Amino acid sequence: MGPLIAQGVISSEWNYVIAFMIGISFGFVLERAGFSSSRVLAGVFYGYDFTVLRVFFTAAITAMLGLLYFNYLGWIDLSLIYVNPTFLWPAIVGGVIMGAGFILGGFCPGTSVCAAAIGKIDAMIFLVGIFLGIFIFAEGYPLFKEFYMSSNLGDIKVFDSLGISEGLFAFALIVIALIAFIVTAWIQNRTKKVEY
Amino acid sequence: MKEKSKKYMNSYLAGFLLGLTLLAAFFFTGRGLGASGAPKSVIVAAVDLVAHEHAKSSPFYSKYIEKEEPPIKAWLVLEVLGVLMGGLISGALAGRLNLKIEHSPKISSKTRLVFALLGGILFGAGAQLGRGCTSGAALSGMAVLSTAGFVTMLAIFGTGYVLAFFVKKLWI
Amino acid sequence: MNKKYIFPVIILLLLGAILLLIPHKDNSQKELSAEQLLLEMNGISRFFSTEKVADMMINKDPSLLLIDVRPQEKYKEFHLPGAINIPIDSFLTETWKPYLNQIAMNNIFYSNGTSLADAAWMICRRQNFNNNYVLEGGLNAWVETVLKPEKPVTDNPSEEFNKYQQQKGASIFFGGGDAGAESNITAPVPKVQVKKKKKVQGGC
Repeated sequence: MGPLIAQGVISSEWNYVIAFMIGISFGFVLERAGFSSSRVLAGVFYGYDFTVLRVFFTAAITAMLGLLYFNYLGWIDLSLIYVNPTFLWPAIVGGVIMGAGFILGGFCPGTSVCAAAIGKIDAMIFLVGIFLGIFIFAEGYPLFKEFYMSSNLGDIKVFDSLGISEGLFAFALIVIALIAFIVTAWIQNRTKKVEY
Repeated sequence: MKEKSKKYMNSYLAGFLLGLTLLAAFFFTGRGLGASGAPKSVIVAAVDLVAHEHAKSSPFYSKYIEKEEPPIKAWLVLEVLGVLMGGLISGALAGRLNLKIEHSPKISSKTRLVFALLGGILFGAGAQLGRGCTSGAALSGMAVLSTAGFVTMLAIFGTGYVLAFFVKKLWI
Repeated sequence: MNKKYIFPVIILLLLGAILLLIPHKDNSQKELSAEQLLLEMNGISRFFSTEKVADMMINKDPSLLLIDVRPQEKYKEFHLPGAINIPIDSFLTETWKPYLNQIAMNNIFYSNGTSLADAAWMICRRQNFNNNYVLEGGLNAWVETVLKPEKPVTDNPSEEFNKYQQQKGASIFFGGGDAGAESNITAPVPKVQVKKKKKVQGGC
């Protein structure tokens, strides 16, 4: 059955309508969760607000469980789902650069759009920065092309990388998330409150 | 605590709803959510418009302009416009719509904006190198259990924690 | 921990635990294992009977695609109405892949007997292509049961006789039987709309 558009169940003209609707839902939930505030986002790094960890982990687990069960029930063909390919070192270095951007700028691209929508000027500036960053990367691309294409491991899945079964990994991830929720709630209660 | 829980939705409920949104994205289109791809499409389209020859000869832009569809029409652009709309709706309903610069009392607005710009530049470039940002690579990647998703997530948050100590003043 | 979280936590753990128990299902297009192939080969689910195919043809079933796997000369000599020709030696070429690896049609392979069609079916199954079947008994059975059905002896049970009547009808439809004329088999090959599985490209 699914993915509906890739399988031709829904014609591709609907693609853009669906994109917009999903975007609205995405933006709405981000804003509702408090992701439109850089100080909520940064809280995860200082222990005064773990909203990011809670939302992020819960969302990843919900979607993961949904996909695994949908696949099992035959509602979605997991082999047609896009799995972002692992280029190991570019992913690590890119992640490190993004991490630095996160702690300095206080947003990530999705949340900055959402925050800019409700009038946060710092988010708008952050967005300008994103455009600049992409432009710089694009112009300098010939310099790091080789690195960008290096250590390609293909569309590998994390449970294969770790050498365990899919079910075991999913179960372990749920347990880790639950432990993280409990521990961070405990930390948050003991951290000095920050007013914002 | 009481006051805050009124201000924003319960984090776990929000996460669950975000997960359902992500699942819907997979179910309909076969790909997850994304954000940094949209500005990329805009940049590619803009460069193509201003300097077509340059765009055609560049190994970066030419990857995207050779597709039959104009890059500006890409899926992610519409999705991100949706995010803008969704954020606006939620902000309006909660009475959070107002122009302001949010920053720690220890720094000035100007400092905040400089660091926001710097962070944006780093995030924009890093998202290209890492093939996606927090939503596209880390969140969607984790949902499909791709190794890249977990690696990117760990790298982003790991670096965040390491650097957090040095830039404490920016936030608390 | 807050009491209101107990219920969701239990559900989460339960869903995770079930995942541990159910077998991992992989739809990715990997090659089929030899064991699996043998298992499927010994089954009969790959066969379509000649009667069923004739019935589908008469009713113009849009999901039916007949594929003649014999060499081209044989196909030119004689083929079933509407069949296309994919000689078995070109089964692995890219040209025919969209026809064989698809989800929209029921492909029915046929040859004179079943051995060539069976081989074609195995090649497809091994690559994990679905929706491919074999015409039971091949063209030989087609001639026997559809074009020239034998009249059963009179003391046979009546259902046998009904079946004969049906076959007789089909036989007349396909220009065999009483009409006595040569089978009219130069029907134009239908344009097949191939719906191909497409892997989604990522964005961000």
